[in-house]
Amino acid sequence: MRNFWQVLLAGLLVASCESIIEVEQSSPYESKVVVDGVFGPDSLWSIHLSLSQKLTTDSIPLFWPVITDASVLISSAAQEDIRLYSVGEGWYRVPGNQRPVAGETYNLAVSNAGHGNLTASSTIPVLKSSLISSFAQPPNDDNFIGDCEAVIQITDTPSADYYLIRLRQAGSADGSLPERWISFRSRAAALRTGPDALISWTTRELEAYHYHGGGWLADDLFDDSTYDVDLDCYDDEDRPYEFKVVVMALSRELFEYEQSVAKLESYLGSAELFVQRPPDVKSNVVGGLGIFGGYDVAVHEFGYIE
Amino acid sequence: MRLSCHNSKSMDLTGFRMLLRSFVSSEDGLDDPGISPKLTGAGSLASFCRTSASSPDLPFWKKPLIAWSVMLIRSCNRGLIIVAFLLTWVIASIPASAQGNTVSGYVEVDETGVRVVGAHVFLEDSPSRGVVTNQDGYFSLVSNSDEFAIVVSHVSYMQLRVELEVVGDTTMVFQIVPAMIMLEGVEVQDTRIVDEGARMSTHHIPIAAVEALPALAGEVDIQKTLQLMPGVQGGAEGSAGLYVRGGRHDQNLILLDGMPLYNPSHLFGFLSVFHTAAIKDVEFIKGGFPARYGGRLSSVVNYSMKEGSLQEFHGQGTIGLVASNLAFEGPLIRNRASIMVAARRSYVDAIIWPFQSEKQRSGFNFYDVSAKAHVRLSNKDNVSLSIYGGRDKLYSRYDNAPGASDYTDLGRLGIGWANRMAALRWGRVLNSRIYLTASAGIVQYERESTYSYEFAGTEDAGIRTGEARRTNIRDYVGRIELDYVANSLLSLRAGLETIRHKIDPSRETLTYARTDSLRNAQSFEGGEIFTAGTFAAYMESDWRLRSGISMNIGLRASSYRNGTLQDLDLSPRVSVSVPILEDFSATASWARMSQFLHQPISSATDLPSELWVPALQGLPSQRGHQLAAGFRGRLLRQGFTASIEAFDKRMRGLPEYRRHGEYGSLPPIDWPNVLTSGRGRAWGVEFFLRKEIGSPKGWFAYTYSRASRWFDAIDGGEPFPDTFDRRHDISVALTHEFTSSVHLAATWILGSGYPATLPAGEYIANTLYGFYNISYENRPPKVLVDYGPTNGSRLPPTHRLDLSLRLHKQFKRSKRTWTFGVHNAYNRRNPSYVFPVLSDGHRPVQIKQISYLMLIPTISYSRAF
Repeated sequence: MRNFWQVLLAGLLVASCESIIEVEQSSPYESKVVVDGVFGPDSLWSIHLSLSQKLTTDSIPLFWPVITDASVLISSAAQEDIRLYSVGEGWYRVPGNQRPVAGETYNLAVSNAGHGNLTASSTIPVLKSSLISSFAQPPNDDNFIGDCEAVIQITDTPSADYYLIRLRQAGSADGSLPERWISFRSRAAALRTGPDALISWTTRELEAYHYHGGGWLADDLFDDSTYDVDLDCYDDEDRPYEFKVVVMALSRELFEYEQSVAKLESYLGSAELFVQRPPDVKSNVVGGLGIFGGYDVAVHEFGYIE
Repeated sequence: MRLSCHNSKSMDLTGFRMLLRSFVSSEDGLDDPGISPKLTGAGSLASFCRTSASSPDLPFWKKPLIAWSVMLIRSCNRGLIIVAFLLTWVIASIPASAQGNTVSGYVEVDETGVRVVGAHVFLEDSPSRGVVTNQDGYFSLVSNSDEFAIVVSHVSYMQLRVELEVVGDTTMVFQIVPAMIMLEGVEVQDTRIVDEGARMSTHHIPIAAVEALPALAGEVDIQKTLQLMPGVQGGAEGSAGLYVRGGRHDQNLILLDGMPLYNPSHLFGFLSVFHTAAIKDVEFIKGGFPARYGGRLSSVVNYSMKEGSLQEFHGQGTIGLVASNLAFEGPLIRNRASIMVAARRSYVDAIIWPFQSEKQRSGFNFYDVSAKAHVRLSNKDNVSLSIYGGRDKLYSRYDNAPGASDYTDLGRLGIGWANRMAALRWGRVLNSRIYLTASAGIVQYERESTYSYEFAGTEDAGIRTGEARRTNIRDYVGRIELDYVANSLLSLRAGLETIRHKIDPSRETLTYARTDSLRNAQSFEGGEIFTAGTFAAYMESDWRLRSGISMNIGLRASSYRNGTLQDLDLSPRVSVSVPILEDFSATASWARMSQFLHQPISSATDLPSELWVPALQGLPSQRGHQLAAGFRGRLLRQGFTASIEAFDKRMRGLPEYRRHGEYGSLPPIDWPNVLTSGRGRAWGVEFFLRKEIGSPKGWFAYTYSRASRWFDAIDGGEPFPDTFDRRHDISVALTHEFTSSVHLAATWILGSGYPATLPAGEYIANTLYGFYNISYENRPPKVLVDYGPTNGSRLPPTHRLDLSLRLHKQFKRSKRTWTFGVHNAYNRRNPSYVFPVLSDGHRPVQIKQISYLMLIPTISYSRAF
């Protein structure tokens, strides 16, 4: 598509010219506090605080300015307030073993004398999923090429409409082949890819899907339904048939953040398309940038056992 | 009842040849063998005289209208009831008889008989009490005295002055001479500058002026001339878009013979579909909108298609670098019916065809055809049929030979869009003071982009995929309108308009099949078709008080329905002109507008990726109101007119993509979730100095303006500059006739830079995706970009000089014109598109611009006969 537009413009326009220009900023750039806080039941509380920089440096900074003297407080209705303490390099952690709990709504309050106060809020969705079966047909080391089928069931809940699904195959035992992501296709509404999956594609889904580096990030795709995942099974003798399906239910703010990052990367990768207005990265941090978003996760492992 | 009639006692047409042609109608008992008009001067007067008898009884045409009103009231629909009351008000306001002598008739072009739209007809001793000829060239003027002089004036024609002595109602036909036709050795004292009544913020663009100005690639474009008016931006460099007083280009009501067009552009927006061979008049209104116009917030561009000559055949053809056109007009029945046909076709594809291989071929072409048939059924009835059809098509195909690689393939891609319009119009003189116009038409706009790909190599051989996205709009338009001249101080206009929209904003079709088997053939089609309707009733009155104050007061009631959304809008309109000095007047206007169709755009490209979405539940219609005030007048009596206007426009319900990457896509989706609505404000000051007669001619326009937007979903509701917020804008247009055969023209524009959203800062943050086995803290962070506030940067200013030299030569039966021109004469690199170079960690960050349309020489040849 990109080539096409280039051909188009070359053909249509009698003359054109590309040049580097100086633009005038309406106001000087002011650094903002960046919150990097993605949390789920599988991890301890941890928040990173840094500062954004004006984009005029000659190279990508090796060291980013971080904030080490902020007051970071997390509160929720069901738990006592949790205070996080700086452990250096911009990280703030909880001193104990407190973990986020699925179904809870957490509020973040960051106060810093130099950069004002920040607030954010996120609710961790509750994920219910299970792996029903795997390998509709056994792999065949003798030049086996075909589909392996896994069936996953996810029970959708009203608070969890956003999911991230990844599928991985284990690396070789000797470490020569690393764990790999597996591209997958599905006839399920949730996991569509172009013309390979065209059954009952609803308009909402067209809006919602977004390709994200080999997987799919989707919203509102699961309606308490069972769906299939077809795996590409190649003749790969050195890699065990051990698979891992990672299913994550995302809070809305985390989903939008992840989605916008993906879109930004897609936009920057096609910067010569003639698009003036770029996508920006969604943030739920009031008074700053970044993300404070929760998720729930389930990992299903399966493999072919001879 | 008989009224005496003494037409055309004498004519004072200073220094011009005299023509005399009397016209005696034999229809409707209009014969009057006693008429013997004496004519002295250029131009001509064809007149006929009739008696008028006013009946105290209810006129025949009132009965069905009243019955209709009763029917509407009985419908219990709130909107229709309002319409009914309006209608009743109009009917009741029309007196059965009126005082004064009525002079009515037509203004037409000498030699061709083509009726003249927009000519000012007024009493010489009270210029403020004039009227403007309608779409059929009809006028009706009331004088309280029996002896008076009538002046007929139009910017494209020589002024005509007629002294009359009449008693009773008189019907006349004035024939005027085009301004460009001047006799050698004649000293012309041209005073074609007239009082425009209460109208303000309005420009009439003479087609001759458009043709005289430089044109990109030789393609004369009326809309690019409109871009040179104050308060108008053109959008991306080189495009033919219109951004009027801080509005977007979907807020322009572009009418062709009364029918709305949706994307009237060729060549991806670089040319408009309107070319001068088919257009006879353009009216451009950017404020103080009369109540008869509605449906858009920012401007009205009213194109009238040319009618064919009733006297003799004419034609013209032009050969240019990009396209050629041919126009033909002439009588079907002499003095009664005529036809005009104009066609244009580009040939970029034909030029590049020999330079392409069989296996990889791309091309582009466009064409348009305009035709109009006009029939004068009687002296009272005019019927016309207007047809327009145009299409752009871009195609590309490549066919790699099988076996050349593992991914050999066959691909095809095409983009096309088309406008079609057909309008039937009937105008009838009900009596000397009432003119009825009824019109009906169909408008269609469609756009299609298709892509198909067939794998021919390796394991995917035989797989064929395809994707098509289509936009389709079809409107059915009906309109009925009455013009009534009550007396010398008051005229009324009322009308009803209905439009049925059938809109398919974005239909996506995906196909997947194996060419060797139908086993896996699948297809998907998504999209939603909206059937919406707009019904409007309007009334406006032109008051011309004895003190010289002119007012246009009107009200437009609109009822809109789309599914469960019902929207009723009442839009009052007021324009006032107050004379303050002999040649100066102060003007002010306030108009409220509504718009029920949205055209959100996600970039400034002006490429035909735009789509129209009707207002629906969750996506409200647009509303706006504009206050304007200023001064206008004549300067130095040397043909200069000047005006200065200030405006303040407020808008709400403006559509915009939510700012997260909806760039250029056409998602057939849940529109309220993709689009968001916001508010806008634009204000500014415009100065306009124009010289319309003599040589050189031209104008100077300067605008200072600001345009801001507020969207809750963008920048947290903080205001940001509109994409086309241009603070300073200067346009200069000049034409000079060295001799009657050598004409030089130049245009120069200077505008401050448009705003743009460009990277301002950068920061690091993790994402959940990827590296699942690495703890969140230990993942390498992503470097993300902070774009800062929307449109927080300013691009460099734009300026450009265009020149043209036209060499005419008159032959016995034809006229030849060579046009030499240069676009962007000093090769200025103006930003057409701007983007940051950030990929692959590029540092330092560069902002690149692509400049289209650098220095381009132009040559064209035309011949008219």
